[in-house]
Amino acid sequence: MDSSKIRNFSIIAHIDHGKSTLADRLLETTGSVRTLERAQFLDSMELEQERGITIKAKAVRMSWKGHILNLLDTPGHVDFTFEVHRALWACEGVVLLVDASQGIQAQTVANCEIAQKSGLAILPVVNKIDLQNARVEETVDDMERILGLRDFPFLVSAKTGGGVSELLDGIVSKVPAPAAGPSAAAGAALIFDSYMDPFRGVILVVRVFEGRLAAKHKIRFFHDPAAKEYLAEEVGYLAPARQAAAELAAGEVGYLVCGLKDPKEVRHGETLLVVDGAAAPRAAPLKPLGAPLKPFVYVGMYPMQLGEVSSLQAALERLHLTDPSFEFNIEASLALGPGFRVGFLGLLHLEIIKERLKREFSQDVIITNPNVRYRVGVKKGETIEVISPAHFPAHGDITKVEEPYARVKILTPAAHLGAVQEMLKSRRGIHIETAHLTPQSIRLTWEIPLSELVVDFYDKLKAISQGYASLDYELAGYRFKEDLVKVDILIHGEPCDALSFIVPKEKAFHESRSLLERLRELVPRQMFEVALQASSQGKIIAKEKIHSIRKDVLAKCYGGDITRKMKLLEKQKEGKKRMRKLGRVDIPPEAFLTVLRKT
Amino acid sequence: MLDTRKKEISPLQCGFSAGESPLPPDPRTSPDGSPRVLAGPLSATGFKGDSPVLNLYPLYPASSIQYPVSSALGLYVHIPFCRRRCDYCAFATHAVSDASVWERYVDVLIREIEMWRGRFKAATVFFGGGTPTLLPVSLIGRVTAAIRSSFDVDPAAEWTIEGHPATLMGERGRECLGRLTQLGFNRLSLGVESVHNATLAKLSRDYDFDDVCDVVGAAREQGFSNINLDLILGWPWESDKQHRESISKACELAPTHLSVYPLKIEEGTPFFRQNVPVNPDFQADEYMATHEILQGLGWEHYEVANFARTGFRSRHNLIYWHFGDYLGLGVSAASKIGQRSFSNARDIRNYTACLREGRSPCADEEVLDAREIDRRKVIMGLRLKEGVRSNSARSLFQEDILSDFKNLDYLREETGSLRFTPSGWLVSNQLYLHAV
Repeated sequence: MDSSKIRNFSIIAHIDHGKSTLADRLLETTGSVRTLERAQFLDSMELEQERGITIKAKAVRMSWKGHILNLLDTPGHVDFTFEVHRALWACEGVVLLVDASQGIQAQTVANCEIAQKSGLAILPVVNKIDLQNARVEETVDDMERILGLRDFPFLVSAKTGGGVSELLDGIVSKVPAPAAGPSAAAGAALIFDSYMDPFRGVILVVRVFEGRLAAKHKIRFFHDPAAKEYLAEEVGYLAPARQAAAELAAGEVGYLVCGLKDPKEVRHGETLLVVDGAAAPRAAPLKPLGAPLKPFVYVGMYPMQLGEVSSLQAALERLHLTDPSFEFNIEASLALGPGFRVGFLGLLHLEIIKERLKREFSQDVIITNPNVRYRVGVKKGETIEVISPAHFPAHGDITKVEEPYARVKILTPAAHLGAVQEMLKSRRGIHIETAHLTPQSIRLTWEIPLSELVVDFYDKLKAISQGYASLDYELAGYRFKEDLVKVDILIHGEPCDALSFIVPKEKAFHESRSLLERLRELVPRQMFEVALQASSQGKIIAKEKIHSIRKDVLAKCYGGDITRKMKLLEKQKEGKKRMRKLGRVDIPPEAFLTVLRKT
Repeated sequence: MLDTRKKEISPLQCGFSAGESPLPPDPRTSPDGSPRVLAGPLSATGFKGDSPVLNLYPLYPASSIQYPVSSALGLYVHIPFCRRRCDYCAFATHAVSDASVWERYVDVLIREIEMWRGRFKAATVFFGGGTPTLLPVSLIGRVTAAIRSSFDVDPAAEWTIEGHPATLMGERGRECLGRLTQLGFNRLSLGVESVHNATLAKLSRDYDFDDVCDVVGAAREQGFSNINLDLILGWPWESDKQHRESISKACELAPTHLSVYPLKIEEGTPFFRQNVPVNPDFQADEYMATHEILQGLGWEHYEVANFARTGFRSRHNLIYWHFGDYLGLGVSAASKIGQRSFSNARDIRNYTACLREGRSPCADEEVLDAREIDRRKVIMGLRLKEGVRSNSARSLFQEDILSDFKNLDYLREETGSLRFTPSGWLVSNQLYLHAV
């Protein structure tokens, strides 16, 4: 393949700006799929379709006027920024898509900056121009004013297909062809995605940068300390179905099957080397691999039905094969029984896994309070990482605590600036920068503790800004925190481990109070009065009580009622079965789910 | 009261709401879908009253199954009509004032009664509703005659009829009451609901407390010596003091029996839609107050919500609570005979259609195994003051649960019996949830 005829590009956009719809239209217009059986072809997971969010990047090869266009789809949500980076490594250009009815949003800016820093050609595109509330001119102006993009944007309607041919022409003319590289060089490719195929195992999605990659080649992964060699069983294109080819040459994007069974054996961003050619394999990776991505939000996950922990484990194991980015370990709770501590790359990631467990494995789960990864220095001199309140050391044993921060970038209309800043302050944020992108549009950069970001932040932000403010964030290291304390919740004198949380001392009372209040509403009245207490550092800091039940009777019960009343009792009994027992107290599973909101 | 208890069936389940026809629409009227006029004989809807029906109700369980009945059973007759539906009512009743509708219903009801001819003895007869006293006494008389000719009714049987005070007022009411005693009724159950005129007005009950006094007086004069009053406690707008007054005022009427039910907001009722608040703690307080007042006045609190003067327990209802045998006649009525528990169609149109076509109106039937019968016996038996034998309760509940209830003085165990205290009755469901 003549590399001058290849164009590798991605579409980047804020969530819901129409990226997947545009991708579908590109596929259709280029004839890559004749009739779209399913809308949004690239979002092949059912869940992604329903949420309209693309989670996993995939590559698709299209033909357009004698050129090969490789579209590397990228995820559109803030939790998956790292996948955007990875996909961009394999591109020479990006389509920067903005919804004309929404305008420029936080992730538009963030993604644009990534592309600019990577030196990629940027094609600005304004989408949804056919919407009644589209503000096309304003959006076009903002793309220059805010993003500094000089080129006049392409105006498209991904929905109707209007402007899509012109955009395809633009991709051919404006995105540079990939460098061909020295033809004799040893094959080197970048792995930027992978997925599981039930028959073939792990399918790697790669971009070849040097030499060629062909079936029967011996390969190895650059960072594999064991330097284990694999045999390339099959290479080819994703068009979008797998289409075997003799080889992938420099500049090309495609897939590789090499007998990998476990996705954990390879990391995205890894450099793949062909080792049996005449030329010596390169001595440096194509891209620095960096530290492996670690989950940073942890929750307890328990089966809704007691005793289903083994089927939940089986489900998590199966899911992990398709998404190795979450991690899980067995943990046990007094109140909830056996379960898992599961780590995610963000709250959306958690939502997605939770939904997939339900849909693909019929597993209903109870999720406990999200926890971040604290670093706690203990008296013995070591530093431990704490991902569960259960393992937070006793107060006297702690020498110092560091908590992770996130750098959040919020784009907000000036009218909501005050409210947004108030919220950031109340979440212990540290102001970094306020930039007026336009007189109406402000970009705030703050650093806030991750723990303040993972509970209810996004929804609150939307609520206080009437939906206008948008968010992008990245991890921003650890900061020392003087007085983080663990709060335990006692129900009728029994500590309910699943409800414990870690919080700055100054917020302990307030958050305990509001949690107890919600708990009081959620835990049904029992045969006896139930005391609810929050305890921290050996002291009770807040109290509530649930009065004993005084009336639960079928007062009228005559002939005709008997059968029906027995059925009512059965129903009530079913409800009771769902309850978790802590000591003698019945607690509905919802109590563990809904107490987590911040006030 | 008529409209307040028995069969909790929402109007939705009945298939039509107030003002609509309980019978199939008359094909001669309103093809445009405007409200149909309920008029005309049943024959107009295809029913031939005089057609010979052989092998009547071939599908009915009675025709094929022998019921082992050791003693006489309780007969319940459901009259599903009221002048209007009360806002809190979820029973199987319809606001119908059209005499021809009543007549058609009575016609099919009698057919149902007659199919049981010669099978059973009856120890009690109970006409409930709805408002049985809404019907002219002549119609009621047709039903009682059918009962007497189809069942071997004990001459000493308890015959109860439920009545709405507003249907029994004045000279006409007095005359009705007299004729009802002539038909054999010896117990009157009046749906008083409240003695406070403000509450009665709010509920559009169409009578005041003086009227109730008059009706009770007339009933006694006409020969009803056994009179029950139904009261509802926990009206959100009545104070605790007003509630206590209700009980004393009701006692001044010298009834032999009182039923006092906590107000329950049932789904599908106007009260439910209006979000009428009920406070369970408030109701619990009123319930306990009721118990104390009546006990102080020498009443026997013999069942969860029922009080009697000595010798005046409701014999008919005791059959239910002893989980004895009873036969329900009429739409939605339920029966339990031996191991069989069955009930009639809840939709009056289905009920009527079945009988007109010579089919059984029985809509569902289950055979209870010995264990289920024991379960129900215990759960029903615990409704009574005497409770149940300790060992039968122990087959259903684990010892630690029983101890918990005993420790809270919700249950007491004496001379081999286990029984609820009044405060225990109030939380009795909490025990039943532990039934194995």
